[in-house]
Amino acid sequence: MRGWGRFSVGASVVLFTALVLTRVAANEYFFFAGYVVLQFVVLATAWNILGGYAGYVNFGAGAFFAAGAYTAVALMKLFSAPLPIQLIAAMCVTGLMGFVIGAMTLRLRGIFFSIATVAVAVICETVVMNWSLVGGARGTTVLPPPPPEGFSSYARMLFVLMTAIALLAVTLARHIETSKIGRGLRALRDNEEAAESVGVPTLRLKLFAATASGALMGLAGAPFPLYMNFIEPTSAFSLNYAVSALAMPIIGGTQIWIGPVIGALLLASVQQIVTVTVSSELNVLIVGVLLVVFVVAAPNGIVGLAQKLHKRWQRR
Amino acid sequence: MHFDLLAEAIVAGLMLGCFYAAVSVGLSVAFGLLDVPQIAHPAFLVLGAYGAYFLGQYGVDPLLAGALLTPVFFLGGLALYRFYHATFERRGGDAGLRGLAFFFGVSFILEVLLILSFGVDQRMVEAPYIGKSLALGEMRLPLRMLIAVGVALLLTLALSAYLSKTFTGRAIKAVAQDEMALSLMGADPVRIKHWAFAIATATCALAGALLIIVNPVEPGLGRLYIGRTFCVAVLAGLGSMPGTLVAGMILGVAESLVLNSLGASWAPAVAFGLLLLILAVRPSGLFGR
Amino acid sequence: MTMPILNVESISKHFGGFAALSDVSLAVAAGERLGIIGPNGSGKTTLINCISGALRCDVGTIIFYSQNVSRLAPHRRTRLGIARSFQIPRPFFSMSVAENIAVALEFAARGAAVTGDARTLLAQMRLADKADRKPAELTQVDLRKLELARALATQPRLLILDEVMAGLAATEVDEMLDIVMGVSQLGVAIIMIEHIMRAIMRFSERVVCLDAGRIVAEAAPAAIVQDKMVRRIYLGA
Repeated sequence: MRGWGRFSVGASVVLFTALVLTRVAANEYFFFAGYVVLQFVVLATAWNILGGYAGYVNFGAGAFFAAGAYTAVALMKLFSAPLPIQLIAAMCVTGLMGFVIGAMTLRLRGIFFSIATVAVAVICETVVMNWSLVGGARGTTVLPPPPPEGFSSYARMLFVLMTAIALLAVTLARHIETSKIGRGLRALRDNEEAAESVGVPTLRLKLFAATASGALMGLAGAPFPLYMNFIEPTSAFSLNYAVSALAMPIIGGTQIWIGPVIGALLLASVQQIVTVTVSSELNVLIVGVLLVVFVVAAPNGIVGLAQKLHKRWQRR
Repeated sequence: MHFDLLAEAIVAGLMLGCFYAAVSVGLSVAFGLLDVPQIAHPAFLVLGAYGAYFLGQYGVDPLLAGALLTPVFFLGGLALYRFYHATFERRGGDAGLRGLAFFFGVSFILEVLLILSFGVDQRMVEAPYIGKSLALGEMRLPLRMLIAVGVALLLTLALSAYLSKTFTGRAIKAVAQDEMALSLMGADPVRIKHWAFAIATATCALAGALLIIVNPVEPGLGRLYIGRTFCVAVLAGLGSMPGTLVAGMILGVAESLVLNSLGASWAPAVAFGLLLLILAVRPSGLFGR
Repeated sequence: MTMPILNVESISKHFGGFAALSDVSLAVAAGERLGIIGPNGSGKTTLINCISGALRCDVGTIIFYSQNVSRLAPHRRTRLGIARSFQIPRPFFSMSVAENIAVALEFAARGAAVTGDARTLLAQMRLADKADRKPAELTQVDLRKLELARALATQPRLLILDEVMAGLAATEVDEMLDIVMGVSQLGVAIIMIEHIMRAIMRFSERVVCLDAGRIVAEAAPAAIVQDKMVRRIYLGA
């Protein structure tokens, strides 16, 4: 695999830095905020696998996120399942969700897939509201186990975990992007009928992307209950996840793996600041406005703008 | 289910269905005929509802408010389509994704602006026909639902007549089928599409007023109606006005029956379930081409 | 004819109440050059769509190299050797010309090296100098050539061309015709749908005429222009 040398080094450095920070940094809030930012990196990267690479827009990222979280909670309540099992189970559940929605709608026009994701979001929320095991509408508390060896708090461990998950997501996205699958997705994104006519198995690729995307979004949500020590439907299914998962890749750039990362780092950081200083509604409005501005004026996102500037510089 | 309850549920469902038809008729035009991914249509309905609420504060009857706001929404629709067409309706791989994301962003911004202006609490309007019912045998028919039926019939019949009897109307139907042929006949397809989209948006003023007449509204209501409006528009057979009425009634009855047997929390899922079912079995809808 | 490679058996296709194709049967031999003519709306593109798999015919079967492909997805039929070009070219806009070809090579070609052959193919089409350009920068003629090159990259045994010369100038038509004849020399069976009679006459070994979803005439090119039905359709007399 070409080009993985620098990437692997970079990934290792990031993980190492995260581990070191948990030893060194004193401010606990940093880890809470950092966790949220990293969570959005995963969400945005996952969304982009189907949205950016294949061109199918998921409006229900919140549902996948929450499904991952609630799967984890259910397993904790039923079996006191350890974290790794929760993570794997969450991935399986949401991966299956992605697959089933895809199987039902990816044969049709893109908008129907999008509407189906809204449908699933509403249905998921309804199911959870009526499920007493996980606390229904009132929610339920989740007590974390003691932090493992080497971590002074559970939050710090989750921070490192989310870093690792983010690296996994980004590695997978990059792999898909540079592989035959990625080239096929790009072709079907540009023109699905033409792609079929030159031998691209469009349905199979779309289903793969939908499943991978779904699984990763669930993985982003799985540690959420332990992070919050509490879970309830309104915050788990927050519309902010759905809009952010869409806005971050579009703002960062949808054609390359680093686009969603840039978009997430930028936007999530801005959100953290704005929510604390101004109001959460205004924060959400800003995301919406930025989304529209970028969709209209900078369709290739920040990465696209950077590429254009680079070309102009080269021509001087 | 007991027969009386069943009959009541069906009647309520038919009236509800007419209401659903009224709020979906604009989408049948925008999405059904023009193929615009107008996922912000429900948001415009909610906007219309709040418009009626706002004018209601000054003592304006909601239906009148809806009528008054219709030209405003018409102009808004013109402007929005001009922008959409210029930016997105051209070839290119991601125009579809961007168009969809654009309307999603618009609906989202509308929702948040409504929250900032009016707050998240539910809002209602008052009118002489709200709160009263008509007695029909054993059943009580809420007046406001009968108003909904009236408005629905008015909208669908008016649009149906417009689309088949007037030149512009027929041109709108034609542009859905063959743009090239239309332009060869001397009509400008782009202008026709502008006009059609403006009409579709204009219906949201009156339909939105209906929304707040029938039930209290809050800014996030749009999301529930994405499923319902698209369900009706697709079940109808894209672009069919009579189909919209029939489809609305089917959805209304289905929801009413579920409401009475499984409870209120499952009712929203009916629209989506029905939509997915139609897409799996007969995507061209009941009256579709 | 000797064992045909393609056998279209009594296919019909309806859209709502409209019959686009009614009971159409056709056979194509290996390496044959078949022309299809007919007025607009006669069902020519629908026929291609049914053969290539973009549409499923309601009735009838399509046999390719003794295999029933009627229910196969388009990409599978491409892998078996059926390629088509689109009436309005559909390039992959975000990719360069060379990358467009590379997709076809990677997904459909049976056992060919990937990037090397893209350049050869482009050279044959006289598109080599445009290999790194994006489709948005190409002329009509070059887009048609790209469309053709991409279809060829799938190493077809049957190539279906949907009005590949429409709207081209006379010299461009000749250039395209030379390229297509060259492809025929390689042993590829070609179905060419065209309005430009000059091209049909020069190119075809056999011509079929479609009207209102049915085949109304089938003969050698010289004979088809004499055919009464064909004359009535085209000249109204």
